[in-house]
Amino acid sequence: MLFNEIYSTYYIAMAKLIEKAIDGELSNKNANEIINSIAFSDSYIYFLDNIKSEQWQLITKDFNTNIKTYPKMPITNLQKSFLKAISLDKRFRLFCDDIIGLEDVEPLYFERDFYYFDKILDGDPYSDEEYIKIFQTVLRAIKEHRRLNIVFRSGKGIITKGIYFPQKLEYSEKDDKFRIICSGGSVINMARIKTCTFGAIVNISDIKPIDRNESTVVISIKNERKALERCMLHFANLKKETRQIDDKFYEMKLTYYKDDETEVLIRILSFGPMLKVISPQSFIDLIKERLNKQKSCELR
Amino acid sequence: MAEYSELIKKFDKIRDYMRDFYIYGFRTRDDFSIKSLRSYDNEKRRIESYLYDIMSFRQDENGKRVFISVDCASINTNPLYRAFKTKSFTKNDITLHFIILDILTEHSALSIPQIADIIFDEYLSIFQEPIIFDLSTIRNKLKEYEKIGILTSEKHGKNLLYSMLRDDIDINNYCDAITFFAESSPMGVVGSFLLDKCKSIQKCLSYKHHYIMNALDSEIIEVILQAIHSKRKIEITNFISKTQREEIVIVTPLKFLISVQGGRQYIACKQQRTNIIKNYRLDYIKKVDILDKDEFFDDNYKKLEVILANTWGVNIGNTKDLEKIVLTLSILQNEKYIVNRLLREGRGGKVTQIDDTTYTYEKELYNAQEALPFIRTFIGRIIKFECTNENVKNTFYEDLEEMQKMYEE
Repeated sequence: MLFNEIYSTYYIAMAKLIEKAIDGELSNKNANEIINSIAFSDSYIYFLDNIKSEQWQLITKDFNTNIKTYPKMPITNLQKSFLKAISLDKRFRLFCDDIIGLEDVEPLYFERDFYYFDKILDGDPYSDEEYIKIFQTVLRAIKEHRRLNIVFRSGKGIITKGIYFPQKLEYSEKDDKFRIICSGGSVINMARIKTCTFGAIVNISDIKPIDRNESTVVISIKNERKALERCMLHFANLKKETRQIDDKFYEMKLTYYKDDETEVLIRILSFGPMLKVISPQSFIDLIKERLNKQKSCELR
Repeated sequence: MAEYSELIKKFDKIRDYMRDFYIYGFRTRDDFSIKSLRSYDNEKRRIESYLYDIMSFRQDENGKRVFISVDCASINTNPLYRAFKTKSFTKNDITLHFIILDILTEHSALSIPQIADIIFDEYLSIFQEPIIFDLSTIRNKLKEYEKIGILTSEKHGKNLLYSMLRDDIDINNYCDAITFFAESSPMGVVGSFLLDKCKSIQKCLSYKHHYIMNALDSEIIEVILQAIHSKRKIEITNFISKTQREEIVIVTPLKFLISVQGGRQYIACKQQRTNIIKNYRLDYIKKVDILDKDEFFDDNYKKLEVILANTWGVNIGNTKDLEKIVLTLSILQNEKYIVNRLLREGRGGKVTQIDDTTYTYEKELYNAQEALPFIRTFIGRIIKFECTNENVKNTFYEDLEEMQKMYEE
């Protein structure tokens, strides 16, 4: 059963409190810190009430415990079946080899249980040994703050060589692809990398946070043909704010990364006349450009 | 009147509010009056407590609006998983949990009376008012934990002895993989439970086109998966958005249909009453109960596979007549990426080059209407759009005309 108290934040926080109490170091002050760092904003009050009143008979009101060893919980059947399911996924080998100890475990799900009807067809070659090697090199470089010497084929087919500082891997569920987000804003598709070797280690103090330019677009939604619901769900992966204008119209402000602008543009176009961009003018011009181009196409 | 608690007994109530705050976020307290206002206040307070870092508010003349706003590409872990870690428990539950596991870490195999004696003698005597556990309370907890898979029992003569289930899996060896699948798997919340046990997690991964709200359907998916694997029927309580009412239907679940571009999740089922294959939105399913076996499961599964070869999305139309679409596009010689997009995103449709700058895309579908959003993404290059269903063709051209007028204003 998924919704079970054994996975709860309260149990996790309690385990930490017990560890501290076993070490003889639990106090009102650090109990507060532990609970706030693990649990929710109101949790401390409930913990304190129950400890002070000795309702939960694990920690006394003077912060001693009756538990002798650090709390440890074996992996549950549900967790094992999840591990088994992911170990059967071809992407699992990007990260590690098989998990030993799950031989008799039934997977929580099989690949055949799910059909992703709008997933793009040319996902990354996860079973390709060279791809796996490159993936693991990049992942290690990110963890160890290393630069990478990368040779890759660009989107336009040009072979490009350079020294990059990878900061993050980005996975797209729609494209089924990994991209490397590098310092300075470069984005490299993992599958386009030809060779990749380690470069110098970067000092942690020299690492700058990734700075990707954000833009916003304001859209008017005409709620016909269930457009409101479809639009709210479709753009749910982006930062958005919506307000109702009247019975039929809504206004939505979307925030997106500037380098995803073309994608956002065609996503808006896909809704047809149910969505209308109302600002900024530069985005309206992009739509108008497409519509004008369309007029000349129809004359062919 | 029940006192407010941060924890909850059942997930379904908070599921609807979280979804609403996240997906829509423009409703005021009064808009929720169909439910109880007290319920709204309590659920809002809980959600604020769990998701304080991503909750926002807007005040206008009609009232205060609460919404959850997050850029999914900038987060490493799904914040909505926090709500799955809020199950309420009694003082007996939490006390027995830690004490039983502590006892069985030290002792290899014990009977229920032995465990009861140790609890009273060694664990509770330090408290001024020790809880008195009867044997049946301890037995129930042990049985529950055996079912969950953390304890095991073995008969020794007349006694049933309980031990901790030893596992040799060190999940710290798999943290990177678990981190990835916690976000990309349809049951990722279980990965999140595992990550809570990992010693260190490095935040190297981020996710694009990531619909985090789908996590809210995890409980429903879990039960339906059990039914699919045992080829059983289910009774579902389904919300019908058109009538705003709930219906109870008996169906055989076959396969989940997931949209990675539209954020919707469905379960394809054979409906028992009508014997047709129909899809149900997971976020509209309020309750699932597993029933008896369906001996025709395999036949219906095969039937569904055939249907899916000719569907664009989830609408399977009447599954009798196929509708053909033909899209003629102008693509310049230096715009090969557009051809690639047709191939990659065209869901198996046929792409043909007619001359240097003209291409056609063709596909047969049970419901061509569903392909219109994809067709519209090529606005600016469409020379001609044809469909054997005249209504679909007319909708496309009428919409296009409306769009052109809309931006001329």
